[in-house]
Amino acid sequence: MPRWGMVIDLDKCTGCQSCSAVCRAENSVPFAGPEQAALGRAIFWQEVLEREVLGHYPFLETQFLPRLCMHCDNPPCVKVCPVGATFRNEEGVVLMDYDRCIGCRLCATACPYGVRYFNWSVPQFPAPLVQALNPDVPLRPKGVVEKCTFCIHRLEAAKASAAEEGRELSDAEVVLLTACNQACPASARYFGDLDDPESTVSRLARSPRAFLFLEELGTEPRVYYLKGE
Amino acid sequence: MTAQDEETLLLAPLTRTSRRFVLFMGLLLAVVVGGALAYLRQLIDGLVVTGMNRPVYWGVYIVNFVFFIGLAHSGTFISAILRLVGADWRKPLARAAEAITVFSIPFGAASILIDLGRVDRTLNVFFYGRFMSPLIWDVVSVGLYLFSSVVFFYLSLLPDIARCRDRLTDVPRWQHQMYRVLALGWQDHPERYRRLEKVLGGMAVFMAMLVVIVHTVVSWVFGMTLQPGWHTAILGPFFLVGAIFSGSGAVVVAMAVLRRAFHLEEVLTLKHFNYMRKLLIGFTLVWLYFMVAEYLTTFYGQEVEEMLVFWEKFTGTYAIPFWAMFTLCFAVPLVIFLTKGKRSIGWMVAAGLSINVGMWLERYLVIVPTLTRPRLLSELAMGTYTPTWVEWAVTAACFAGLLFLYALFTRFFPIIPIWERSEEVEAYLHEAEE
Amino acid sequence: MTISEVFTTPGIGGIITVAVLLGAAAIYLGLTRWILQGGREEEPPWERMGWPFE
Repeated sequence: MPRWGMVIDLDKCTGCQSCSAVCRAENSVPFAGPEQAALGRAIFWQEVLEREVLGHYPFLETQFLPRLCMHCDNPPCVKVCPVGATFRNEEGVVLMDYDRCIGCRLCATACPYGVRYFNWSVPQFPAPLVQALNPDVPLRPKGVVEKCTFCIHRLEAAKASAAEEGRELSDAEVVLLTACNQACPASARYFGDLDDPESTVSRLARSPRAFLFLEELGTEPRVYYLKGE
Repeated sequence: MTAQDEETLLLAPLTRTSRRFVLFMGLLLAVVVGGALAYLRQLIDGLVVTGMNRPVYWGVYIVNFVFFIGLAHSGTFISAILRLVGADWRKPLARAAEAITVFSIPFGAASILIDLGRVDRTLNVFFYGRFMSPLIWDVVSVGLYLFSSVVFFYLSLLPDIARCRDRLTDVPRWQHQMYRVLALGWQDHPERYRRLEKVLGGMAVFMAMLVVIVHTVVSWVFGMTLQPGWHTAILGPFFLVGAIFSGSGAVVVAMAVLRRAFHLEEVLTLKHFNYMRKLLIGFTLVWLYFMVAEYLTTFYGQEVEEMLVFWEKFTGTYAIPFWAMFTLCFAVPLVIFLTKGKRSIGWMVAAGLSINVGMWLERYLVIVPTLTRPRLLSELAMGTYTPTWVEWAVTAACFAGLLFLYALFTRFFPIIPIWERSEEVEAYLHEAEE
Repeated sequence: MTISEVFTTPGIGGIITVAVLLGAAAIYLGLTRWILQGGREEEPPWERMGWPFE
């Protein structure tokens, strides 16, 4: 049984935000518009955060942090959901049941990474984009929580075609499986099976540059970051 | 005043409706309707009409939830806990206090429902409820609390409903019919009074324990998350103390209003206000103790994420409400209790109101600043929160609704217990003890 | 069913909630009946009224 995880190399990341843009398109993430975004209602399943610029010119240092759901092995969000609308599947992906969610937002307040978002109103899409919504991803109604799913629809499709051909998914097939990874022009992102010691993600996760965010909280996140050189 | 005269006085409000009363009720109803319309707007457009956002996912509605459940604790404290220690001075206040409980809890529960993104899926809580979730613990404990309070309230009211049925023969037919049905055929009989006392005594023990559980569980919806300012062991006891504190302040206000409205100067005397004053001094100091314990510990530890929230309250965005809260909850009431409050009911009411406004602010300050400074995000994206007219309208409607139900109750039922203080009944109960 | 499963399985929490509330209802109903029956041997008037307290 694979345990899916991701590695993001912060040394290679240029902060271009292709990952964020592509994730929006792939997952039909609703648009808040500039007014609502200013009020804090924007939804970014994948968001590039920029840390404070340090140092003095010309020795400046900053860091771009592509932040998405950490798909923790010990998720605080799953723990507190009153109706089981968020759950961790057998392969370690933390998912949402949009039909069961009552919109209490307890999961959103429990997540220490701030990766959960709420549909404050009926989801909106600018007119031409309505025609480009991804048929593989369910649209969410007003009043429910949503977040990154590790592109579970792509994962299931890949597993299905591998099964049809009577073989297992290979590591090479999954490294760029998620939309964000696929879009990254700097090849800074990797996806794969953390339980396979030979996979790309496992090898990179063992690197001395690898670290996890808020590891001390015990949430056991599965998105590893590689420190800049 | 003889017992007969007193009874007439206590039953008098049940026989007539004053113009002032109708006007007052009309006003309250208008506020309630306003809030209902605001909520309708929210149902149609979604929670976008509120000021909540990311990361401030909870706001005024959840503040109201905690506040109203806290307010309810006063009634139980006075009617259950004081009953257990045999504080007879509580008797005239017991029903007035318990009525606050019975009418507050529904608005606490309603506030949660109002906050849900999908209130149409509320029943999912019963079909798919997970016992791991603090919200489910809330449903069980608050549900049980509401249920038990209503039963306790009703049972303590029962002999007096029978009294209304028997003594108030001049009232409209439907009103008399209501007393007849609700009296459940009660006839005065020593054995019945003894059994009633036994059940009330037993329920008082249960309710005293329930009070501790309920408000602790309410605090755990915050305390069980890993957010700075919330994940602290003191949260449960802190909320509990705050609840009994604010509730007792409310009882003082209720007592004073009822005393004036129903001419109860000889039933609710300065003596009763003095007992409450002494209790409230105790509560004020205990509350101060908890505040110091919490903030001193945080400050000494200097943990980065905790300090971000700490400074937001002490000197940052929330400094004004924070120090206002401290003044209203601690400084103003304590000064009043130690000086003017000894002789003046008016000043006691001022203290009671000050405490309640301060405690509402306190709930706000527990919930919102932590949400504006969540762990990972706070370095990179600070939050802000400004409640909108929808949230204020709904809040006003909850308070108006509480007052409406309370006033309606006092119009049709005696707010001061008659049977509990009647000498006949005392005799019945003493017989049993021999 | 392990202890952990009692807490984490959706639906079991719902059953616990309903059981607690219904249990309390039954107890309170019983207590009220007991109080009202104090000192009465013959059929009480509230039963003659047809009140459904059987």
